[in-house]
Parts: sequence; structure tokens; C-alpha cells
Amino acid sequence: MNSVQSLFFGIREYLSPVLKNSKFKETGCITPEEFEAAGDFLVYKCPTWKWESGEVSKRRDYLPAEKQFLITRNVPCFRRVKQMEYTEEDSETQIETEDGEEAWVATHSGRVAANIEEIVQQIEGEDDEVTKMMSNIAIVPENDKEEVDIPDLDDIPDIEDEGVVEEDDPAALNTPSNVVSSNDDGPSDKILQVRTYDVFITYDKYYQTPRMWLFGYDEHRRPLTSIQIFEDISQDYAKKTVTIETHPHLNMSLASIHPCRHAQVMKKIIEKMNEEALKKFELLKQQYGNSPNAPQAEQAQVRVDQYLIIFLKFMSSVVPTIDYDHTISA
Amino acid sequence: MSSNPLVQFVPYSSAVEAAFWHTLSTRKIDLYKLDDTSHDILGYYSTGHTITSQHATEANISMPARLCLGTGAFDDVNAASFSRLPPFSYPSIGTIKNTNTIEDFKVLDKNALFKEITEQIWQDINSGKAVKNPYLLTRFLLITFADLKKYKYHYWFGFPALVTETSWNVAKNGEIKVISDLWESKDIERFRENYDLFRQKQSCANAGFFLVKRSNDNEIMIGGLSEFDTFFEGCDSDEKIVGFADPSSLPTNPGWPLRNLLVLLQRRWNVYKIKILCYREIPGKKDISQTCILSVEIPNTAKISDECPKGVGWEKNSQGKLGPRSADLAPLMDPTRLADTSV
Repeated sequence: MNSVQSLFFGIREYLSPVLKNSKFKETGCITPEEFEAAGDFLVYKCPTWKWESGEVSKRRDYLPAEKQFLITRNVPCFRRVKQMEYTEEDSETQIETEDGEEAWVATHSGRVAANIEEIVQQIEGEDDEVTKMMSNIAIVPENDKEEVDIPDLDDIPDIEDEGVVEEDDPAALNTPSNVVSSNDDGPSDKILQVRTYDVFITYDKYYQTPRMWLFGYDEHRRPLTSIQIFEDISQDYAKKTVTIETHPHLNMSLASIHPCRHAQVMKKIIEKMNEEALKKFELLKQQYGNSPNAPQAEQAQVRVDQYLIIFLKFMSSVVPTIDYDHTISA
Repeated sequence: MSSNPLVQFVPYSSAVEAAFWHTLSTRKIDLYKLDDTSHDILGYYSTGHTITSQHATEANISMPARLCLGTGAFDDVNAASFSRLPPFSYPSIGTIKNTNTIEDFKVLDKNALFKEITEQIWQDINSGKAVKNPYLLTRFLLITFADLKKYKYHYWFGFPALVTETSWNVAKNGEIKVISDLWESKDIERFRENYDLFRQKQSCANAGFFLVKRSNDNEIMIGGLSEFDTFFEGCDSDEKIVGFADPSSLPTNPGWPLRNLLVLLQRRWNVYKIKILCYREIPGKKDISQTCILSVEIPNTAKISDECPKGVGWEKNSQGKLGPRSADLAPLMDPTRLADTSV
């Protein structure tokens, strides 16, 4: 069954025409060229992201060989979504903009926030339409069968006969090997073993949007099972929009945020941002009057190369605990 | 003098990407087959940093000093593969010995393999190769057994550090401090900019070890290890600084690569007291505020004997004991189990 379906998906992807004309403002979709431009912008602004080429046999010819997908590695993930929801209220903070004029509330993690964040928050919080849209997503591929998937790590027998002789080494710092609870004796610096994620962004030709993939490791650097990964995904989305599938450029299966509604949500976010920007622009225009230095309306609009930065903000609501770099540095 | 505390170094924690195991399996099946000779692999590490918690009740978090292996680990070791490493990382060359059976893995003479790598580092120090290419100081060993049918991998890392007879102490008044306690912010900024330029010129390969001094006109200058003899000409001993990209994130301790660097300094240039800069950046944020400086000294100024020193540095397993680790990738790679979770 699986192979028939992947064959179907393969053909479907092959047959869908590669987007040539930009319509990201109207539809929220982007072309491969725009994906490349937005990827370049992301790598420039957030240099922990990197382009990679992946498996040669899986290369897509509508993207340059060395720019098949984006990756950022070893992203720490401190606490599970459950813990986060518990502390959400505590972390709401008023943040002032650089000019000190406006303040807004940043929820979740108090990450460095830009205006985009505010809009994303608004959309998540108030816009019933989008919320409904997201929760209506009816892909529920996971079922209880998953319980079977927890690997029995214990059944790997410990190899006792190491045959390794090593003298005492007083110059080596003994680092704790077990997980150190992060709040047992107040603020002090410790080596904390935390979950980490490798985060991938690929271009989904069928949905004509970026698609995010997650590969997680536990505190001892063992790959996370899908159940464990779901602990890091906002409960509104887990199991609805997150599926385990084969990475389009690697021979591995990993968790992915299904892109079937990405375009609609992105369109909404971009529209909101443009509205906000236009309002600001009107204000500025009043200040400048008819001066030739007056800003142009187009300058205030969202550019397509900013698409991935906005996309990552949107994704951070789905996986709120993973602290990847999506902040535009000044 | 002897009352000064010993310098204690933060060991590496290995971090293997799942894709590395996948590549190893493919190569074992298609390329190596029953050949179990050793191969070079390319690992990498980044500088450590502490992450400040967003919640007042929680402690700040220092990430482990990671030595990572990714998909590109089996690429030939050259400038091109170095440039494919993740941004803000430094290369580390390893030797992988993959056995054919679990029995082979158990009875393998691990001490001998470890000693081979230790001797290689020692030779590179003596021949001057490690001066030209200081990344050779971070050589490591990885022994593996890949159970290809069950997608289970047994592995053990060794990060050899040469142990000379006398240990390095923290020099008097040389306790480790963050850079902002010792330098003015404009100097820190100049250092950051100049180090960035130096790193670009070295294309990261050899940027992990470097020299720092303040010139007469108060400029902060960066040089390569190979310039050691000329770079510090006319400098007071107090102004000579040797820097390294430090994977440790603890504000109290430097990381593992400093150990072999100190042996190199002592062996080649008879350095017995030196100021060390532990370079730590937050990747992509142009923030090096967690960089630390300390002074170290060795009380006994005798030369190191020509004999290769002992090496230490087997990685401990998750129970904190000397022993191999294992990774189970069946849920991710086994086709029958993959089919179960697919759409």
C-alpha cells in the first residue's frame, strides 16, 4: 500500500507544473526561484542556516544542485510543550521597540521579537478563521500502532568486556553524565543534557510552499521516536499536521509539518503584515508631507525574499519549544 | 606554586547524526564489504556557549562540548570538504575502525588503536605538521560495529590528549575570567572583527588555533600558529596570548583541544607560562561576550622527553563508565517499520 501511495505522490509531484510566475501575495505559494531567493536571504540573515545538496539520486532539477534544501543543526529544545504551556503566563512580557514608542506582548519564550511576531501571535490568538482552518486539517495518519515504535534500547546488551585501560586523569573535568535538573539549586551554570533537533526546510513542489522537517535527539544523543517528538509539538497541531515521512533529499524518515495549509496561512500572515505596514506608511507620509525623501508605498510591503523568515515565525507556533534561529539580527 | 589549582578541561561529548550511520551502512555494504581496515573521517565542533534561560526560576544552561559527525563525514579530507561543514564549525580528523562482527568489536585491541592516534598527534607536533595545520591536534578515534540487519550501531569514541609528566596549573592571578572583565568593549569588538577576517582567510580549517597580541598602536592583531617566532617579537610575556576555538561552555573550565595545544607550545617553543584565550561565540549573532581568558603555567620547566607521552580520553558512556555506546535506528531505517508509520 505504502509503495503504491508513494508512487502516486511521486507522479503527482512530477506532473504538477513548476510555478513560474510569482503570486505569493495572492496565494501564499512561492516558485522554486523564490524559494531559492528566500533561502539565500535566510542564510544571510540567520547564518546558522545552511544550504545543502543531499543525496545525488534525489536531486530536484528545478533547484540548483548545491541548494536543494536548508538545514540548521543541534538546535536545543529545553522543555516539553506541556511544561511550556504551564509557564506560558509567566513568560508574557512587554517588549518595547527600539524607538520606545510601541510595546507588545511576546508570549511563549520571550524570544527577540520583531513586528512579524506580533502579527503571527494575533493570527494565532484572535483570528478564529485561521485557527479553525488549522484545526480542521484532517490528516490523521498516526494511530495507536505507534506505541510499538519505541525502540527497546535496553535490549542492546551492555558490552562489559571493554578491555580498555585508562589511568586516572585529574586534568579531565568530571561532567555529570546524567540529566541535571535545571532548577534544583538556583541559577548556576551546569552542563545540561537537553534534546536537540536538526531542522530542515525543503521545497514542496506539489503544495508550492516550504516544508519543515524535524529530526530529534534525546539527552544522550539517541534519535527520538515519533511519540517523543510529538511532545515538542504544540498540541493543537501534533498528530493533525505532523506526519512521519521520507525526507525528499535523504534516505531517512522523519517528522514533517504537513504543508497542505501552509499557503493559506502564509497568505493571511502576509496580508496582515502588509496592512500593518500600510498603516505605518500612511502615518509616515503624514510626517514627511510632500518631501522627496518620503518613503514609497512599495518599500513597506513584504518582499518575497522575506518569505522564509515569516514562514519560520509561523512554524515556531507549531513547534514552540525548539529555539532555532529565526530572528532577524539588526 | 604547587598550591595553584590544576587546570581541568571539559571533555568532548560525541554527537553522531543519524544520517552518519546510514552512510556508514551503505558504505559497508557497497564499498568496504568485509574489509575492516581503518578509514579517515571528518568530524566538526563549534564553540560552546551558555544559553540564558527565559525563566527566572531556571538556571542558565551550558551545552555539552560536542564533537559531531554528519553526512559529510566520509568525504575526502580536503579544503572542499572543510568548506561543506556547518557554519561556525571547526574540522576534526578522525579514524574509524568498523569491525565485521560484535565479537571482533569486543576483542579489538582498543588500547593499541588509541595509542596509534596518540602517536600520530605526537609525530605531527614534532614534525611541525601540527604547527602548519593545527586542526591535526584534535585527531580522534571511533570504533564501531554496525548490525546492518537490526539497524543497531555500537560505537566508542576516543579523544586522545597527551599527558606530560607535569600538569598545567592555573597561574597566580590568572583565574579564568570572561573577556569583558579584562578588556574594554572596543577592544573586544576589534578582536571579533579581526578574528572574523582571519577565519575567512583560513577558510575555517586552521582558524581553531591562533595567536593574539596588541600592537604598538593598540590594534588587536591575530596570527597563525606558524608565525609564533616572529609574531610575538618585542612582546612582554604578559602580552602574548594564544587562542583556540573552545567547545566548552562552562565559564569555569576550558575545553579539550587546549590540552594538545599546550603540549605543542611547550614542546616546540618551550612555553611554560602563557595567557590563553578561549574563543566562544554565539553563532551568527556576532556575540563573543562568553569568550574567556586565563593564564596557565607549568611549574617544572624541564623539557618534555622525546618519548611519546601517554594519551587519555576515552569517552564515557551514558552511565558515566568507560564503555561503548549504542544507537538503535530501526524505527528510522528499517523498511518494514517505516511502512507501518507511513501515510
